[in-house]
Amino acid sequence: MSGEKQAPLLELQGITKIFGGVAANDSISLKLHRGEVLALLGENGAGKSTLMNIIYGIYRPDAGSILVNGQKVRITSPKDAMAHGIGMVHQHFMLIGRFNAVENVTLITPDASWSLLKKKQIRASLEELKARYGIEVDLDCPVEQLSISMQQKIEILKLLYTGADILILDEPTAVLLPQECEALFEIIRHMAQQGKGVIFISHKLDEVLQISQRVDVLSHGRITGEVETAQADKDLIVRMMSGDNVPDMSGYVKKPPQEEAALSCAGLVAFDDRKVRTLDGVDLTVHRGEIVGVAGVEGNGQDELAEVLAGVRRATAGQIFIGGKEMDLSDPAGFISSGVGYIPSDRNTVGTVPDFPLYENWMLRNPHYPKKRGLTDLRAVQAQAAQAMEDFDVRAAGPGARSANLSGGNLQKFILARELETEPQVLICSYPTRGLDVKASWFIRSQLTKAKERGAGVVLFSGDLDELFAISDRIVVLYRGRVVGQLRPEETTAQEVILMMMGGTA
Amino acid sequence: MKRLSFFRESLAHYQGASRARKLVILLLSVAAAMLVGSVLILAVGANPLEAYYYMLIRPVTSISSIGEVAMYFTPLLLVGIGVAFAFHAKLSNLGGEGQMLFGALGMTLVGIPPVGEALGMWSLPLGILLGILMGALWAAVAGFFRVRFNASEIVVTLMLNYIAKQFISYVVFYPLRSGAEPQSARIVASLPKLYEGSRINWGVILALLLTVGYAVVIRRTRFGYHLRALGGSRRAAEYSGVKKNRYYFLALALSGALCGLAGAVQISGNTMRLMEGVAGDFGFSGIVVAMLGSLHPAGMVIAALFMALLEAGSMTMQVRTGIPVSFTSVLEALIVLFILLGMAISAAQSKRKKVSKT
Amino acid sequence: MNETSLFSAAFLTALFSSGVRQSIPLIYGSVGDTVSERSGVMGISLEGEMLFGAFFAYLFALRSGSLWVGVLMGAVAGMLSSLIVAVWSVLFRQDQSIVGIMFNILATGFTNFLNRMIFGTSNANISIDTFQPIAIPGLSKIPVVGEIFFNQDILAYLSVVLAAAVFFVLRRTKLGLQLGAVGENPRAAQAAGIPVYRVRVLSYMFCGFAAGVAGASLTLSTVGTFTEAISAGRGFICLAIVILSRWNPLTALVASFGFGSIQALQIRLQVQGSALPYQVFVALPYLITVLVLALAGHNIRAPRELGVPFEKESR
Repeated sequence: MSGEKQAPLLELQGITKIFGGVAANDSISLKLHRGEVLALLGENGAGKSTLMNIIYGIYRPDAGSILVNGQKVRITSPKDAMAHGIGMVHQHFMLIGRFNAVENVTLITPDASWSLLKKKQIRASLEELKARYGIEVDLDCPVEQLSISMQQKIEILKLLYTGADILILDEPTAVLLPQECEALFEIIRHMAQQGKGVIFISHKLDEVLQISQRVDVLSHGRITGEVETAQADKDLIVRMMSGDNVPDMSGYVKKPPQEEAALSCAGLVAFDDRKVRTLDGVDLTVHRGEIVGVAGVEGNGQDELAEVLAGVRRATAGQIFIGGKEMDLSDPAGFISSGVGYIPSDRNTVGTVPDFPLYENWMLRNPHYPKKRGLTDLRAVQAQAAQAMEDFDVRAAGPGARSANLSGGNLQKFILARELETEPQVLICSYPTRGLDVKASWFIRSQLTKAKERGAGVVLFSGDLDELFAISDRIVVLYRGRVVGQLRPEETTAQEVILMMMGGTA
Repeated sequence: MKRLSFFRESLAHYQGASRARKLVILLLSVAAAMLVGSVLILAVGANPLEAYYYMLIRPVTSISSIGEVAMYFTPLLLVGIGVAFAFHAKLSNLGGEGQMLFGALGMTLVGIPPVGEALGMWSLPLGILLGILMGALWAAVAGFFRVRFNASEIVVTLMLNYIAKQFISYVVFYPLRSGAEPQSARIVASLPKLYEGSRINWGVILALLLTVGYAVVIRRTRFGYHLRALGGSRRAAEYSGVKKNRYYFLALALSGALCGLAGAVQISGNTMRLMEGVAGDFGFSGIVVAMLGSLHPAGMVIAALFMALLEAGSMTMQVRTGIPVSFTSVLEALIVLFILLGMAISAAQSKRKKVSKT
Repeated sequence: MNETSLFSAAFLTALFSSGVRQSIPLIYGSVGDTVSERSGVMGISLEGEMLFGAFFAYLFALRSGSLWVGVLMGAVAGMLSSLIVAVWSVLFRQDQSIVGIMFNILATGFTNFLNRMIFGTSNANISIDTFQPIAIPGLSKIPVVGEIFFNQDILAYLSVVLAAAVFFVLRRTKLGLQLGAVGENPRAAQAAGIPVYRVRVLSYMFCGFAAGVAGASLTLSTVGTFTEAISAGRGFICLAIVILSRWNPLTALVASFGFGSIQALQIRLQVQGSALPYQVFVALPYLITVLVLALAGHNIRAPRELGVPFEKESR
């Protein structure tokens, strides 16, 4: 490739985007050459998706400029982006569920609105692309009926169809099984060979090293380092990702759990919102003073298990015992009053009502908020919330601040404070540190260990194996809605857990 | 069906996030609507000041005309707080008219002879209770559809209005018809008057008491809290242990109960007979009250008063100035549209502020 | 009245012929609403736009002496007034049900106001000659069917053309796909380069245009004058038709004819008297809609984002 002589295919200069007072992107500059796979590596919330949405014209930057082939361009809509040869596979697919692949592709053709549909023609070109890149996918079925990996292939077909030169793949492997990843990488390599520039976004170091030529590390909205993959030093990159020295759990000593069970369940079966059976007979016991970590590839029933154990989703079969008492599965309020705390994975619209002031969110899932003669004592509620905010270092304008205005870390601390207020005997935590910065994550983890030491049984769902190893007394692995393994962190390795998550046996 | 924008804002404001700003928007909206109204009046060659005098000032200059205002005030307020209950759960009850009609039917069934005579003094409270019950049941139909079939309550409540209207029409044409006109017999017991020489009656007190009840329920009870949580974020409410279907159903039934009461009061305090059109346009103007009062109890009382003045004064205005009563509808609608506009702009502004700081 | 006369060919021919006339405003309204609902905007305000259309069509037809000027101005009035709803509910993202209801109140008040101010309080507005039936050569000679379907006025024929044209556009053009995309998943539509707001506003204006013609057909094709609240709930029937026909304009055509015929029957019964009270037939379209929602509710799939405001830059 003559990439060195030519102007880069895509160049960003000083891109800045501010959301709610926080810089999601802080003066980011990068270059992408022809025939190159550039990996953009960073943790959740580092600003990767924001940056890509700016390149793709969905967000507009507050400062900075974008150059394509050395020419400064203005991209105010995805249409502009496409006109400049930029194509993107979003983390959430941009497909119309009711349409099939051909119809979805039709939407992005440059044809005028009034033109007649050319389904046959488009279908033929798609078949040709399928053959050329070895992509196997149904073109006639409404895409909502296809699997996630199939939908992703349709998204890639869309890109290939437009002939885009700059291809952005936003966390494409997050939803894929290992063998599907390999097929995807094959397609990516093929695209690069054809002279296209690929930006591959991920937070998984290993796959980044496998596929890219160059790695840019993004942390807290800034580029913290750039390396050629060939000379990459793993440890260096990890340090670039996490920023400065931060408190970690290394000094934490696990105290052994008690004998008594805080929570136990047997034969739990549940369906997700699309009526797919995602829990297929789960048995689990959590002792008092124990943190049980639940590991699994996304979509193997973790969300449903968390909701079922918290009483929010109704299991269609099975039993749950809290402190030895059998729960009525159809009565979510019964779980709350039996002392089940729950930190949901979506803190913005599940853990809190976004438009309520904090003190009103203090009353959420909290039947014991202060009352006077049977009526809410608003003043006392506010005082209680204010006190908890101080204890948990929740930074906000006060208990009257709207929850939607809080940052993720502060909101999560607030939710944690609320759930711990009543000293629950069981605490269900679903991805409690996802998207939080390192300090906030540390704070959350140390609160979980405190709750454990107080005698609570904690169920910790997490995608972060380091976190699971650091604080769990036991790790259970979920695969296809079943518990496929129970391991002690001291007696196992991350590799073993990952293998079990993929369906292999230990 | 999720609907976000307006209720999100109105709730935030109701929480007292920026009450002053809210008030400014409301006042500006009323002023802007009246300004546009003036242009309309000028365009047809009349004097806007005169028109507004007859609408807003004249009705309060005598005891008897205050009574007229009360005739409008009571149902407006009752329907207003009724739909407000639904709005809190982010449900649109557009079926106030139908629910009022069934409430009116409930009052009539118990109030007319021979039942009314047999019950004597009990016919009034029983009639009111039956009215409440029938209004609630009629709205519960929409609630049932929403919960059981996931059918939009907007469409169903609208459709139920027409069905109710035809049903009442049938009832007064055939089974309950008394005399040549299509209307029922006169009910035997009416709501006692508050003040002799005026039509103002105990309905007003009832409506005000219920507004206090509304405020307590919404602000200070678990039910009201859960209702608002459900409106603010359905999944957060479920997380909080709320059975959403039960609440959707209850919110609509409660909404219908108040509209049914409005219908019962309309019969026992105003018309004394069931007839077509007894619910007037209260079903929709009650929504105006809720919006203008931004779901706030005191706000809705003021809004209902304002609207009642308009309605009561518009007749005099038509007679004296030749401007048709329909002008008030234009004014009402403009006010709400301007409020919505003001809140949209205000929300966009605060968002921009939020983005630009730091 | 006896059974034989109720089901005689002459009675049925007259009934269904009148049913077709009654269905004209329903066809325009429901076809228009089909388009806007496909893009995600509910036509709660159809009723009001019809009123605007009806009044201005009558006014301009009377003043200009030309029915066509009337139809055109009715359509324009419907379209311009729908712009209010579009701006409020699409651009300012306000709740469509509230905006729609307020708009209907505004339209009722405004048209009544103008009617009174221009034509005075007497209800005896000046009548104008309505569109005359045009017998289609050949086809109109077919017994019964010819009289019912091929001896109607021009607006009736055009309504069929409109329904077919909209069906074609929705099924066969990229525009149809784009509309559907905006109503199903506006975020994805935006990512595909479709201007979501513009599509929604324009499709809603088309709905207003069609509702304006629907209103014009009330004054210029059937009644010959404007009376207060002349639309009489037809806008809401159109909403029902759109649901029943599952957002398909050709099915809407058939459903409109069904509801139009029920309306024609009800008018006849009201005049002639019958064992069944006429109110049953007035309420029937609404009853059918509610029942269908109950019986087929789970199979009826509305555009996914119907009634949901779309915010461009959100996180």
